[in-house]
Amino acid sequence: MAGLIAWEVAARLGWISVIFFPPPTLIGLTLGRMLLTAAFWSALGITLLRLLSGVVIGAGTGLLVGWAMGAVPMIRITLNPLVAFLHPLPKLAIFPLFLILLGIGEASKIAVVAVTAFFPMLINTLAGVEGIERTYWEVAANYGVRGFVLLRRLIIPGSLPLALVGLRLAVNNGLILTVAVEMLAAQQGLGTQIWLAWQTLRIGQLYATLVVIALLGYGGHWLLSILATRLTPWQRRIAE
Amino acid sequence: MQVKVHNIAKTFNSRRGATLALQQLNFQASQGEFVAMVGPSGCGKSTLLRLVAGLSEPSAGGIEFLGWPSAPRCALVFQEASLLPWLRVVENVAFGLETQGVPPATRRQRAVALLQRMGLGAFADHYPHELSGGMRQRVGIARAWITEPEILLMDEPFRALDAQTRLVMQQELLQLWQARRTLVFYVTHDIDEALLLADRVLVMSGRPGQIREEITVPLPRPRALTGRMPAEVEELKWHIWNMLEQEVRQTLRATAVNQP
Repeated sequence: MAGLIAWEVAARLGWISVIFFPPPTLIGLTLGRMLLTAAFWSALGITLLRLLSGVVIGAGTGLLVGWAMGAVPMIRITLNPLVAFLHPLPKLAIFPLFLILLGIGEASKIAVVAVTAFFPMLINTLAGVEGIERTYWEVAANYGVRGFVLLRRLIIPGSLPLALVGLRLAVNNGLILTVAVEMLAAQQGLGTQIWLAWQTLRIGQLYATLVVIALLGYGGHWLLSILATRLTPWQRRIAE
Repeated sequence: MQVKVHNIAKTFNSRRGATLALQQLNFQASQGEFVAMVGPSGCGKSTLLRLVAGLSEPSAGGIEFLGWPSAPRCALVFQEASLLPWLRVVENVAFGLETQGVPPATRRQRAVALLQRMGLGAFADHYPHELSGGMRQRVGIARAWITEPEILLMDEPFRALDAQTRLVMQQELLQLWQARRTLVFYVTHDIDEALLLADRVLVMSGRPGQIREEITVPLPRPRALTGRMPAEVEELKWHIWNMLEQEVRQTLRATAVNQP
């Protein structure tokens, strides 16, 4: 808050360039005006659609593969090197590959977001399964619990807390990549809007869009916290 | 119906070499018996229980279950904190019934009934972390008991409890057992507890663990857990204590030599 006030004063007194650092009140005003345009809402809609479809596909697959790797040693041993090999690739760098494979439409953009969401989800889910205490596995073994019941009673709930951390990372990274891909190669969306604002030097619009993206991230964080409390009621949480 | 443990040995391999936990260990027990095992810490009591439970394989020797139509169900009551934290109390109790093919409604009904009998009816829908240590351990016993095991294996189940709670729990355990006499193997380091609960006490040596002596407890049932013990039982207590003291001293000496 103090930072915002200092920024406002500095901009108003002309200590910093008003063109590049417009005072916060002006950004607020731009944001307000932006919220009244239909173009903004359709940009927000398309960005959210890309983000959500990418996260659902990518994180969903990551979750299933994580459980499979955690439950079946053979699958884990087979896929581990592949994951270690593909995970470090910058996802933006393989975007051209997706353009070749899937064309310049929505599919290639969603695919990049999905791949980005896939890895943190997979790695955290797997870590969640591996982190289930040995005693619990022994309890299951002692009571002859196997197969589907083992999955439902031990593996899925035991890995859920970390899987939810994975989902949080997946949503965050997915949002970053959605905006990045839109800046690179989209006709519409919040990323496109930022790039356009920069190129036409409408700096107020640039800041206003950044605020929206930050709010999106915050909203996602909030929704996921609620989801975590719902899904893992046995976890005692540190008050936020 | 008998359990026959003959010439069992168990070796653990680690990077620092092999550790012999059990060696040439023999004993027998019959259906309906309450057998306690005492021994110095690290003598392999828990290892022995895990072998009987089938959670690990002996390195040599074997365990025979004689006279049972099929392999008897061995339910293990763990030392502490073995309830699944994501299952409610009633689901934890019913955990072992699911694989026995008991339908969900019946599972819940039976679990609730047993919880009520054990004074935990009001906590059926709580999560384990909302319970005290003693209550959690009772739920652990209920979880094993509900599957009606032929053999009940208990690994220092009341170790983490305070003296009063422990006494109440011991009484409850004997009551349950009195109603349905299953074969119990009860590991403890508490000599009093072993004598109060068991028909027979197996005294184990230090590592590698062997049975040093078998002692039959001359106390009638049902037993009173409070009050003074008869002189002959007091006598046994000092006898066991002397044996264990020797073993503990030997173990300490051996460790001192091995790790200068």
